[in-house]
Amino acid sequence: MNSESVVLEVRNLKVSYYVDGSREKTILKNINLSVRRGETVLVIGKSGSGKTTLARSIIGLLNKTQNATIEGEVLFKGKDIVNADLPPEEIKYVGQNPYIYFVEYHLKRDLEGYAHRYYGEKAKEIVLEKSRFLGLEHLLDRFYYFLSGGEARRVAILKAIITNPEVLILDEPLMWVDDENVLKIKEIIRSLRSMNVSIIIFEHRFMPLLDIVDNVYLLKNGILYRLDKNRLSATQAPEEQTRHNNNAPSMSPRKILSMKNVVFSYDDARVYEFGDFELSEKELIVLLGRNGSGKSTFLKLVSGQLKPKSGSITWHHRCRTGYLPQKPIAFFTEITVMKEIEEVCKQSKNPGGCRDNVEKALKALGINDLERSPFSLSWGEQIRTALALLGYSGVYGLLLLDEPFTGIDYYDRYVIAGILNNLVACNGVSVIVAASTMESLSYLNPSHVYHVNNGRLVPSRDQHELAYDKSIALKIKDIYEGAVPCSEN
Amino acid sequence: MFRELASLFPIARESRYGLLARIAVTTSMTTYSLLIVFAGIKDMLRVNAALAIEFIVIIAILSVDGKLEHYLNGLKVIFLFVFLGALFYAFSYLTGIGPKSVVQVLMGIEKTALLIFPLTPAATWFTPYEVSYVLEKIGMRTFSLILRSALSKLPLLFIDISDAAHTIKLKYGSGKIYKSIYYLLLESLLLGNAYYEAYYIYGLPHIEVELIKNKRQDAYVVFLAISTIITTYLLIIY
Repeated sequence: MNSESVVLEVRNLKVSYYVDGSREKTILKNINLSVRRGETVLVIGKSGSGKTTLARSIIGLLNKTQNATIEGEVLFKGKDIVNADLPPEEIKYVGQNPYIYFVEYHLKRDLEGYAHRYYGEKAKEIVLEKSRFLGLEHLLDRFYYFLSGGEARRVAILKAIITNPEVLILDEPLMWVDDENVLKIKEIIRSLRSMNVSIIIFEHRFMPLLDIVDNVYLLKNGILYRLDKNRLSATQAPEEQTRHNNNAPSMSPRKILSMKNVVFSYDDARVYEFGDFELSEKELIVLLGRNGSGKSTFLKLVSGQLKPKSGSITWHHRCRTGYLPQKPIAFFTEITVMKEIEEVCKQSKNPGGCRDNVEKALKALGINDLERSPFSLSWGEQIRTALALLGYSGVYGLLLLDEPFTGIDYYDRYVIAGILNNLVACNGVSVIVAASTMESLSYLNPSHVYHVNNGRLVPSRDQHELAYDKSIALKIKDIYEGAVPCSEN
Repeated sequence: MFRELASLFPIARESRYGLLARIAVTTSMTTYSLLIVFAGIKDMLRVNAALAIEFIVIIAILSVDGKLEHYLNGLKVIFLFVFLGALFYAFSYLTGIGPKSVVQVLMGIEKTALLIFPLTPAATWFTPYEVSYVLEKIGMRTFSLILRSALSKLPLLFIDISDAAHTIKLKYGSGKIYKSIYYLLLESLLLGNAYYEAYYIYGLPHIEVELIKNKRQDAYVVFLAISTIITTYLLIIY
């Protein structure tokens, strides 16, 4: 590697947090990374492996926002930036939540206000030019909190490149992003590569990015390893499995609810004509649609939070509904997982049995420390814990899950899909899953798939469209949990 | 409900009038209300006329500016205040510690309305962005900063509250929505931290407002509002 072309270098970086006031927990042990001008680097790793910690350390955010100790160096063009008061303008970071980067509600005002500090009177011109470059000019007159996840992500990248940075760090750029927006984000990354911007991407959902990155690293046990990119690509034929309808009951299932000609609108501009829908016991329904297509609205109609403008929703067999929101952390209310179990099981007819079932399920899912706060669990652990409480407590007969596969790695998705398949087949629970990407659903075994397209519910004609392939998940599990995969960088 | 609250935030969309014209109109309307209220007018008819003219001027200006719908929505809140004021006056009257007659009670209510009416266009007419600008210009930069930080993430917080309330209602039933308090506290802290993160990386955007939008149009609205209320004031007083 030509050392002249290295723009960013991380040397012997060690990061520790103080937990419980005094106990030191080392997250990053000895990180070394060199990024060349125009290079695109992908960093993968399990939930909680320290990817976000590394991203935030590089930009210098960590020691300013959290009680963390940082040792080692992060050199930008040979100058240490870890302890600088402000990050250099040439390095920009877009974190997991893109909405936080906007101060003004009106996007154009926010972007022009930011650009004004660098370009003065030319700010408007620059914002227009950059937004055209990324194909985002149609979003400038919107308010930031009305953007979909994919749109917000793209506009946050637009804000980051206003000052022509040399290094761009993207933390989970594909989180909450539907398949169409994934292509748009890839297009943006390609455009930035063409401008010789060095990009570091931290991502769970990395498969769609493999063709646009130069190098892949694995963050494991606090150390960064370089991976052979080909090891991640699907080199072998996917393991085809016969999709067996494991939830097919021996006799005709009891109908839970039916919807007839349901129409809903928030205002006259957004009308959702969902039409007819039926749900029976032991069914796993998948709603597949773009961001903003109406999936969450549909779940809210089923749960009774919203009332249809016209049409009817009839419950043939009333059962308790449990809901897992897009941010799983919002599901939790107690200070320990154990207290969560107790509170949920208080509502059961058999609290003792409920507690045993949930505890057993949690142990099987790798949640062993029940005295831990649910708020300190990783994203994937929170989803698993919530599903154990919802599915194995026997309190809820219908589960509504809003994007349960987002923000987690491929193996976690495989595990969560397994839980859902099992809940439906063995515990008699019905499940409706809302998802914005096909990729997340390959491990599920649904009874029906519906496409949600601009508020219309269209039953899928091809029940086998979700390729039932577990080879990727198992490969990722092997890389994350197996022996050290490749050379330490 | 909270999600709908978030959508109420952009009520103060672009106005066709410049900031100075809007400040001038709002200030003159407020001054007019104060002068009428403290002029010691005893005649009910005059107070009625003062209130009616004020209301007509506000409605006329806001309907030309396309803000009437928002103003009328905002009036719901105003009527709540007026109603509370009415209760207060009625209570004082019934207990014999306040006004001596029903006319005085009605007059008290009308004067309350007179004072509150010009405040609603202020909420409809000025964006938090413009309020921050004014605060900064009058030397209250810290307060402006606090206002911008607090308001910038408020819509996100409302959306979080809405989602949490819905989730917890289904989890435990409607009586236990208070249980989302841990999550909401945590989320507020995280949003605060997030604001710091955005501030650290990007700083605060420069504020640019249009003090004067269209000279003739701005002057016209200021002249119309001020001349009408001065004439009305003089007619009522004498």
